[in-house]
Amino acid sequence: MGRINLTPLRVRRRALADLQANRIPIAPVWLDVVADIPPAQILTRQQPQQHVVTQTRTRSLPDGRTEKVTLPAPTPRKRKSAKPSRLFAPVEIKYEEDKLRKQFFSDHPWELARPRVVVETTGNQHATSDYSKGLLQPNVPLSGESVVQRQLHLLQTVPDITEPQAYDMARREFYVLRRQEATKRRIAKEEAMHMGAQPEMSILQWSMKIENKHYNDWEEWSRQQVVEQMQRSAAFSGEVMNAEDNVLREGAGQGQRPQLGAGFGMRGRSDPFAGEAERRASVNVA
Amino acid sequence: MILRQIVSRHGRTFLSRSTSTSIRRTYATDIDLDHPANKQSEQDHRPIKSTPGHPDEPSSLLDAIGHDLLDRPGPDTISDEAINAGRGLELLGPSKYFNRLERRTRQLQADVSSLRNTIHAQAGQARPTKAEVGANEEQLRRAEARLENTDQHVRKVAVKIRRLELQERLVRESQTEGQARKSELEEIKRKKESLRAQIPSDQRSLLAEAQKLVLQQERLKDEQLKVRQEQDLHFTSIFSPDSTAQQIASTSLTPSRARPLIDSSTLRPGDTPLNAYKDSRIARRSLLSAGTDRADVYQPWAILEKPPYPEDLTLPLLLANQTHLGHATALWHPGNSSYIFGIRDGIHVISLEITLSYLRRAAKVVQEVARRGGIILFVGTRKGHREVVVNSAKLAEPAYHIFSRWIPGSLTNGQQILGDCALKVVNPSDNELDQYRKALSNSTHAALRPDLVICLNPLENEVCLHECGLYNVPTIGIVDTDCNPSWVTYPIPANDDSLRSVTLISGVLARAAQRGQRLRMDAASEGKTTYNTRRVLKALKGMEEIANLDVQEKGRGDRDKGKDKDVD
Repeated sequence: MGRINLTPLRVRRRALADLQANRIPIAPVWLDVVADIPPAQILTRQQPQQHVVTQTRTRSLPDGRTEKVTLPAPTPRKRKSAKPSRLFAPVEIKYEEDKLRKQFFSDHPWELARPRVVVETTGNQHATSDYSKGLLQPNVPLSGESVVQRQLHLLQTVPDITEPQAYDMARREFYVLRRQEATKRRIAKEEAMHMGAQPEMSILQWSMKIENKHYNDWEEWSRQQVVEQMQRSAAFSGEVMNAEDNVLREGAGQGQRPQLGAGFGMRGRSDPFAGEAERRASVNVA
Repeated sequence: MILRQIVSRHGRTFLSRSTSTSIRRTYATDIDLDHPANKQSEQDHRPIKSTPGHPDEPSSLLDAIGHDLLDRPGPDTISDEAINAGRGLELLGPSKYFNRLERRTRQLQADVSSLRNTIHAQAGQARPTKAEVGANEEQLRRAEARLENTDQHVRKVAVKIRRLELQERLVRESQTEGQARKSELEEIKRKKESLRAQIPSDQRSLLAEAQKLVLQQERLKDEQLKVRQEQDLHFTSIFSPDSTAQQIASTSLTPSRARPLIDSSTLRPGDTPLNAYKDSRIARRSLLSAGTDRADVYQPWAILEKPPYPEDLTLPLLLANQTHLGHATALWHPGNSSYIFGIRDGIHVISLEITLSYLRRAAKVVQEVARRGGIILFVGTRKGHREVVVNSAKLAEPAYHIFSRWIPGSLTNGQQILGDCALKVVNPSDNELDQYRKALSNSTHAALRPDLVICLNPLENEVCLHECGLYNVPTIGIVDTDCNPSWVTYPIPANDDSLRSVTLISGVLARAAQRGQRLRMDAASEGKTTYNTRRVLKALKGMEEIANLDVQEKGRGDRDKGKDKDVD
């Protein structure tokens, strides 16, 4: 109870004792194996590995040369817990990039909304990356992480650069690439449409279509209700109220409401009510 | 019903059927016999017992065979003739029969490829390209068009004359008596003259031209046929070796001159199912290369099918396979503190260097135990571990696996739980010794115990590991940050929640075991053993004595004596 069970570690010792006591007639096949490759020491408590954040900078000297120095990053000193239970507890892993990453994504929160593949293939992607050449790296899609790595590279290699300067440089390069991406996408779409591609309705158009269908259904139902009410009251009192009569007459002459947001889709129509009749027909079919 | 075993149907196709996939029919040359899906697995259900001819009986041939037939001992002396005569299944029982078929198929595949090579070597030319085939077809179409344009009567006469000429040549080449040949030749000559006489003298030049066209058409058709047959060799079925060899020889080595005129409609691409199939394959292959190039692609099955060897392990590989991810810091077991690199985003990160060294150490143990002929058991009982343990056990063959549940008492009360299982006695080369089969069946042997247990999820298998401790069996386990490392003899600190990580670790250990087994078999081929055979002989001798005793004594005596027995 509460004791550590060391039986698995002592299989060889016990097998030898059994052998000596003739409890087992012949040594098991693994007896020599466990002797040659003994189990590792377990349950030892060592001092946890410390993770000091360092930063590498290039600075220019008075004689015009530059030198690269690596120093511990200036971090606010936090008092370590003096509790004995904390003495052997693992410590937080920290890197310099953490700060840069935090800044970039607080400035560009929508970058986090872009889908991103995080599955690793080789685990060695950094070996083919060279951030001195820019943000785009082989087999690495452009993302906020590219900016962070580029900024870090600038901070380490450009003499006397400050963090905001490096950030500005990296993010400007990033904006250019994102603009290029958007342009390429737009042109590809235009080309496809020109060659006869028929894009499906957008999510907004679909939702408007469903919503309009519900409105129209409701209108039809409400008219039916009014008719029934009038018939009941006419059967009871023998006359039709003028106002209700007007409502019905008005409704009979008027078409169904135009679709909200119609014409703001991919087909680029300027007139929101153009093609209303066909659309309504398709709605009714649906 | 899952039927992974390769079954011959209609003498020319392979059939592979399982519950998850629809029936797949492919040509024998295309099937990859090394693919796990085409191999018999222990997961596959045995067919249920049923009476042949009963109305409820499934239509499959295998379903009609009971359990007793499946394990029937078959002498290896059964000849190929008996099997070719269709009696293989009843003589050998299904598993041996299909093993034999598989061996035979591999041999045939090798034969066909070597035959193909010799054919090409004899032809002394490379296979015709697509462009050549296309040009040939174009030429043929033009020749046909020109022939259509000639006078109908002249054309008919030209074709008739050509037939007579062919007949004449056949007669000349045949080995009949001189007299009969002469008369036949004269008859043919007379017919030809009469045909020529039908054409007026002013149209003789037209006839000559038509004759030329007929010849050209015939030659082109022959060429086209040859090309198609060479292409079709890929898809030729190879079930019977002799018939195939003859077929290949007759189709490709016979001179084209001896072939009569063949209707060109049967030669159009896409007309026959074979051609349609071939065309679709070509089209698909050409489409695969279109578009963007895919690079740096993650293939989830790669690590399952081809796991790395222990010396190929690198830290990036371990990182990519997520072995470093531990549990939330609150869930940790402090015994793991020396394996933990640090804390990141609230979870413990396991040190990859430590994982690597511990994994290599465990792999060494597995290899040595396998080399000494120990019984290795893979235990992985989480969802998704099934494929992993089965694949590992297959790689490390002969090894064993559990993927459903460790039945408590399998070791400590093994005689009750596993006593009824069949026992296989093998010689150092892993060939079964049939003489012990009868003596060691029907619970007359002691239940076997593993020599090494590899547990992929120790947290759920505490009972298994506890029993291993009680019974003194060394264990290897993947120890996550929330697991007690003292449960196993050789812990491997790694992530046990990611299937990718578990697959990697299990695969590496399986590779090590595979190597150990290979070393053992190498020694066996030199007539040596890598383990002590004294106790095996002693145990078997005792068992034989017991087998000669009467039934009442048999069970008890063996249970006492059989404990020290080992199958290897």
